[in-house]
Amino acid sequence: MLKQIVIAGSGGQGIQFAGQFLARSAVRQGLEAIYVPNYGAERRGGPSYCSVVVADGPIYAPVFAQPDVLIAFDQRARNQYGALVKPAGLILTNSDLGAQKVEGEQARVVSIPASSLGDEVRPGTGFNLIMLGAFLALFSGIETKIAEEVLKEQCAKKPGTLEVNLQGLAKGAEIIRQGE
Amino acid sequence: MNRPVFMKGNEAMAEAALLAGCRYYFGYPITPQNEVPAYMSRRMPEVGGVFLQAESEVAAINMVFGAAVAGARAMTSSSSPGISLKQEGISYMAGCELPGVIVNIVRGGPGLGNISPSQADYWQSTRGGGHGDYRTLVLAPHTVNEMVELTMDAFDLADLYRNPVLVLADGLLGQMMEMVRFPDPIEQRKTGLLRGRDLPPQDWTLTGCQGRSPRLIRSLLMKPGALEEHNFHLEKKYALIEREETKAEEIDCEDADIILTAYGTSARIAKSAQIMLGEQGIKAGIFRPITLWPFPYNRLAELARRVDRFLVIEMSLGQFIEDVQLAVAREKSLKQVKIGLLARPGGGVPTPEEIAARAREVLP
Repeated sequence: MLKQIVIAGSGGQGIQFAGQFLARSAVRQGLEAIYVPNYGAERRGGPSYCSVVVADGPIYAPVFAQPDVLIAFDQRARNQYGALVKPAGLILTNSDLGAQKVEGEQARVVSIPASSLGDEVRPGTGFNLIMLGAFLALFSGIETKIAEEVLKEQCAKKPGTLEVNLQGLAKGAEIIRQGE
Repeated sequence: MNRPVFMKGNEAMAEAALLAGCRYYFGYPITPQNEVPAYMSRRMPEVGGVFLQAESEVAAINMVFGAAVAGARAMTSSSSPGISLKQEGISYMAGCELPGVIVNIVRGGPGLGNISPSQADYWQSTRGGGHGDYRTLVLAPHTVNEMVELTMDAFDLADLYRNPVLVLADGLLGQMMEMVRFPDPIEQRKTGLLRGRDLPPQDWTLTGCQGRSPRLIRSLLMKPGALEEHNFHLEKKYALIEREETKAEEIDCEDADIILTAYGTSARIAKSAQIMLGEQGIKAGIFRPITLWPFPYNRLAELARRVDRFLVIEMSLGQFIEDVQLAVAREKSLKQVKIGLLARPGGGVPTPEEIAARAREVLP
């Protein structure tokens, strides 16, 4: 198994946090993982991107032509990467900010109203963990307990954020399970 | 610290330097290596060392010079434009035979270029960069784990030969996070590039001459013939380094249809291309120099006796390929061998698909 994942959206949405969280969770699960951020010119509202590769064997290339998975936080990200996703792959989108189909998209699309779900947890706190919770429910290679452990560690510097993030993670997973 | 940790290349390198006993870091910020000084600014005080953000890159390399003169393990890091500024200091260190570790997290050039990963500083790194007849050892890691090991080894080799050592990586390796295991420093000295050799006594450092005769460290040699003699002395040292320190990784080269030749980031991408080509029934080998100077000319020449197709992959515009050609030409006429080039300059990074496609073009 080797999954090449792109997480993309806008600066301030917690893309890099989400990417690190996914890679750390995979590693804690005993898988191999690498995380590659975009860097240097980040700004709130500007495009933000990271890639994560997860595998059950060695990972060599940190770059790839076509991702297996796109987690698009908004329409701009979906426009940019949607058509690149392998036909057998997955596009996970936020229907509140990125509901429009993109020309050339061939992969299966799963849409969740991540922004609204985030506001249900606590208004204005964001939705990155909702998206990741949904992805982990779809991917099923990483146990919830392990993801929660990693989230606790990653929130250690800002303990106030842990509870909403844990709730977001659960809510994202829940909406996928309801749909199945 | 033997538990594997998930860490960014830049930070892992900084921690490796501390493990190797580096207690002096001098630097000046530049993307994509800023995590090195940031990490050092936090960790150096914790281990009783000195972190100093210099007023410029030129100042930082001269601080490394000063620390080396006094016998300390010191390091500086920067990215391409900043490394250009350090070249004068590196030349002075080579002339004075001073140890020191310089890390270059290469970005796109020329000029200020961009902040994307690149390998365009190959000539600068392996051909001198500064003025005069001198060499710097150049170590080229291709994973975060190897960044740690080679950074630790760099300090040992610098002390072994009293020579500056350059660790050459790029923005991708510096920024990416990967699992890394920090080796025990004593163990690393046995299993790493030092290979268990003893380091020479520091009988040349300037530590105050009370009770002994004064010592002098300088690169200005004005007496007729003195500089030529010094250059011949350095030449002997460089010849010894070429004999003793050349290192490369080889995978399935002996009976390959084509050998993919690359270093650093390009090499790890080539490894994925090798797997892809294997699935298509093509036997591709990997030849990855770990030391760029000294370059593994002899081994590559030996392989050229058996294999007549090579693909060079580099994130620069035909720099690294010159060393591959020099190596192959030791054994065969370049007319008998096909050496293809996949060059991605200016911050471009090749994909495994691109490499596999180009390899198929080079094959008959």
